[in-house]
Amino acid sequence: MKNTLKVERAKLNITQQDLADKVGVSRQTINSIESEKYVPSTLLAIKISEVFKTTVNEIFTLENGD
Amino acid sequence: MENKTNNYKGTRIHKHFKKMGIGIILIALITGLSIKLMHIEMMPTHKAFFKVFTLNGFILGLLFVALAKEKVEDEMIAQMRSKAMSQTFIWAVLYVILTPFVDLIFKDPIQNLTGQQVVIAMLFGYLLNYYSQKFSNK
Repeated sequence: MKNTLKVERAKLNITQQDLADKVGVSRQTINSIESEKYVPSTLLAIKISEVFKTTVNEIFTLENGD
Repeated sequence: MENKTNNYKGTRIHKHFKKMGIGIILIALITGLSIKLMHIEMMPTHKAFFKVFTLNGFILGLLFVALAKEKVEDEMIAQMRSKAMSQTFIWAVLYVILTPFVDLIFKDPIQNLTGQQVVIAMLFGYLLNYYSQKFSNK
């Protein structure tokens, strides 16, 4: 699954730690999501999309084979 | 509102138990090694007591380290723990099956595995697997 988390973060000018604090996970988790090593749960994906005031589909998109 | 993304407690204990566990492991190791290396003359009952003390101390220490919470216990950590646990189960079964063959090659005759040996192998397997996942994700 691809994501545009890094881009969205850059738009809001917030760090991985800031985002992690807002959604209640560790900075390592945000880093793993950004580098596409970890796919977040629905709950976390919704929380992240709420921070960026957008929809989950705008941030996370399926790739071929997903 | 309760935060559910970092609320994966399970059967976890306070994070301070990790340091306590490492301390117990060190004490058990130092006790075991000093008795073995210093060739202290002891009655067989005392020797058996120290062997049990060392092994149980080691197991308790490893258990504390394995159960201690991380600073942020979130869903990714929960997934890593669960993956490590399931792989450790397979590793333990293979360990029990293969050890007699290793004994047969290197230490004939075959020695029976004790419960303590299996538990130590499982805890080691779990911790190695969990921390290797954790550091590869950093």
